[in-house]
Amino acid sequence: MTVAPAASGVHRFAARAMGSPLRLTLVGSDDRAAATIWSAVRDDVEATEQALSRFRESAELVGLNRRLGVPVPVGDRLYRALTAAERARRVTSGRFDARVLRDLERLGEHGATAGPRTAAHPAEDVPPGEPSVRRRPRSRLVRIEEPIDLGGIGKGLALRWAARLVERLAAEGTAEECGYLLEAGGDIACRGPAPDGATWRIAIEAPDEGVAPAAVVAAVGGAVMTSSRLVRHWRSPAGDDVHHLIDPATHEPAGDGLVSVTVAGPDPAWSEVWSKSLFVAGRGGIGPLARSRGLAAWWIDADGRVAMTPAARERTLWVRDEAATA
Amino acid sequence: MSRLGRVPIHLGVALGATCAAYAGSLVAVTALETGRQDAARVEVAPLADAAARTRDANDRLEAALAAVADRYARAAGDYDGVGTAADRSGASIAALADELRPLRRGLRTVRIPTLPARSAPGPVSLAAPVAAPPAAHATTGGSGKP
Repeated sequence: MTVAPAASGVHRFAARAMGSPLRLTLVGSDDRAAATIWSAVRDDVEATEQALSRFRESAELVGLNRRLGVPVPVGDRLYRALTAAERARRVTSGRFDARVLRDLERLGEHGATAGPRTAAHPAEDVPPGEPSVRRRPRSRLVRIEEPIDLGGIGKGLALRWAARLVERLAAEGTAEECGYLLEAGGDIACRGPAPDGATWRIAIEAPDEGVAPAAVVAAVGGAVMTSSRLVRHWRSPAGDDVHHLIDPATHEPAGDGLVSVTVAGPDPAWSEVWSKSLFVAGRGGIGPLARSRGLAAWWIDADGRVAMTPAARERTLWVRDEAATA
Repeated sequence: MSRLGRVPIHLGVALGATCAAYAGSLVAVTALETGRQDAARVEVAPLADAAARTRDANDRLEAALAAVADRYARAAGDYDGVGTAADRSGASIAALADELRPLRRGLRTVRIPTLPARSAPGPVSLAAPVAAPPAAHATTGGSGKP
C-alpha cells in the first residue's frame, strides 16, 4: 500500500508484518525505484518471518522447536539468527536468552507452545559460557535442547537485513544520498536525511498513551529499539499481571520498577539485545550496566519519569519529565 | 743385568699396584666432586632464576618510580602556573575593588523608598510551562507479537 507522497521525492509505504505495522519512508528516490525497494523489503521481511516466527505454524523455527535434542538442518536465516542469539547470550552474560518459551507458556502467554520438556540439558543448567545451541556450520545442522523464542532479536534481524537491502537498492538507483526510515512495530532502522533534510527524530512512547511522548531523540543513523511491558502483558493462570520480558535467571517477568527501555545504536539486532538486557537488569542495575557499555539508552520508570545515559543525552532533543538521577 | 734387574719382582708388583690404586681413587674423587657440583648447580638454579626475576621487577619498579617522579614534577609545574594565575586574579580583584570604592561611597547617599509591609501577589498557575516537543518522524515503543 502506498501513501501519497508528502513532499517531492518522499514515498511512504505501510503494511502488516510480524504481527505489527511495517512502515517505510523513503527520501530522494523516484517513484519506480521506491516501489521496487518496498516490494523487495516486503519479500525480505516475509522470508525472515517464515524462518524465525514462533506464531506461524509453517515457520522453520516452529519445526525446530518440535525436534528437541536431535540435529536438524535449517536455512540460512534461522542459522544466522540462532548464531546471533547464542552470541548475544554470551556477550550479555546470560541476561539475554532466547530459551524463554517454556516460561512464557507457564505464564500463559497466548501462542506460547513449547512442547514436552526433554530431560537432558535443561536451560538453567547451561552457564553463559556453554552453548545453548549446538551448530555444525558446514552442514547447517543445529541441535537445541530447549525451545527457542527469537521474538525480539528476530525483529532486530529482520530490520537489519531489510535495511541493508534498502541501502543497496537505493545506492543502485541514484547517485544522490537517499534517506529511509523502516519501522516494524515500534522498532526503527533509519539512515540518511529525513524528509525535512534534518536528522530523523524519534519519539519515545510515554506510558500514558494519548499525551506527549516521553522524549524525542535524534536517530543519527542505525537503529532505535524499545523493550516495553506496555503492550504485551496479560493475567497469568495464578492471577498476576505479567509480561513477555522474562529474566532468564529467575524465569519470571523482569524489569523491576521499569516500564520500558530504549536503546539507539548502529545495528537493530544488537540494539534490541541491549534494550532487553538492560530491562532485565531492572531499575537498580540498568544505569551502571548501560554506562559501563557506553550505550545510548533511555528508560522510563514506573512513575513515568525518563532517565538516560550520557551517550543518550547527546542525542536527546526534548524530554517531558526527567528523573532526578540517572 | 741392570740395577732394576736386581730389584725383587714382588717389590715392582707392589709399586705398580699402589700406583694403580692411587689413580683409581683419584678418578673416584674427581667423579664424586663433579656429581656434587652438578647437584649444587641444580639446587641453585631456582634461586638464580628468582634473583633474575627480582632484578627485573626492581628495574620495572625503578622505571615506574621514575615515571611517577616525572609526573609529580609536571604536576608541580602546573601547580606553580595555577598559583601564578591566582596571584594575577587576586591583583585584578584588588584593582577592581579600588575602582568600586568611590561607587560604594556614592551608593551610601542613595535613599531607598520605604516598601509596603504587605503586597498582594497576582494569580500563579501551578502548571509548569513545558515547551512543546519537536515533531517526530516515528515513535518507538512496545509492539505486538514478534
